[in-house]
Amino acid sequence: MKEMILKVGPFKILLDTDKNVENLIQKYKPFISEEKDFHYKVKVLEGEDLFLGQGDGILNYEERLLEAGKVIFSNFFAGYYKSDGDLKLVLMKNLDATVRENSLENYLRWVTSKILMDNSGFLLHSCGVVKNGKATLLFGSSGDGKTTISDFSKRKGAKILSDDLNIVIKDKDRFFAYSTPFYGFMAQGEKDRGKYEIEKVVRLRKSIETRLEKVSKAMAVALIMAHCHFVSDLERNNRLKDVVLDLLRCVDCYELYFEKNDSFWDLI
Amino acid sequence: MSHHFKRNPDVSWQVVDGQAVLIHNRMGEIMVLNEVGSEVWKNLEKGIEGITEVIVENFDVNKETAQKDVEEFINELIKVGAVTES
Repeated sequence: MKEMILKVGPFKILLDTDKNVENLIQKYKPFISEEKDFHYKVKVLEGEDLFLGQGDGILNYEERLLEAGKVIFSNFFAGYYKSDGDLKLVLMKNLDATVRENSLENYLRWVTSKILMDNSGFLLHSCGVVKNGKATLLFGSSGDGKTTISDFSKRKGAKILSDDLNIVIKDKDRFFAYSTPFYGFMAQGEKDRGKYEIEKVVRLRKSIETRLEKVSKAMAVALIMAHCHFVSDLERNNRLKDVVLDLLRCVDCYELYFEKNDSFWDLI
Repeated sequence: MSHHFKRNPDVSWQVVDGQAVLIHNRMGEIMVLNEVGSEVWKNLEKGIEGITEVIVENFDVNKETAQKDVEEFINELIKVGAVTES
């Protein structure tokens, strides 16, 4: 099989490759659609492009606007995005299987952020916890406690979306959260794949005490934007700012100072 | 220090509930100004004298202190690349 359809929030992305995709189907299994319809098609090729070169081992990205659309160049791939739905990923020839898989995932993350931005949404580095049927997105950088919060919430019986990267998207007048198929510490099968209205967004702060403090809208804009995935240029920053402000008309933002135990649970 | 300033066009901004949010699009940095800083930012075209007047009118501070604070704050904005002297 050389094609698969990945469900990313409300969108379906068809990957059309010249190689077998069985390993990818296993990797993203619960997020693979059995249906035939899709919103975006990505043609995956191998060949020559403006790669950044292998460099010093640090994975670099550079985003440019070309006639072909938005393009992301990395050490190992060049990925294209146009909002009309026909997308292309050019992988460097003869990549090691792991590098190929990682390149594909990095492109999919980037392309997802573009798709969401065109649809009043964004990707937030967060742990998504479902409580009383609504989602609380607890956001932060690596090491800020997303996985810790996820683990303690699971023990409380909560559904978890993703412990690393969640979708925020507007639908009519409300904002909703979805999990993503992308890499985190959680197994794919443990992620809840439902659509949940967002109740609040919370910046994580490790502390020696547990308390929840509301933050001003202005500070919330800055905190949330700083934790969005793959946003870099002026146009997108402005559009993202507008979407975040829209979100903050619907939900409040807090900072959760928390100890490494479950004392945060009643506060979220 | 010049008495006239320009906002860096790479910085997009918006006042949200009285606080200015500055987004430096090239550097990827985001700043949130407090109420006084936001007044300075909004009135940047007025120069040091004009901004000082606005601050004295709106906050409980004398002219000398206000002017010194405005100059220091604008220097900070210049250092972070949000403002240039014109």
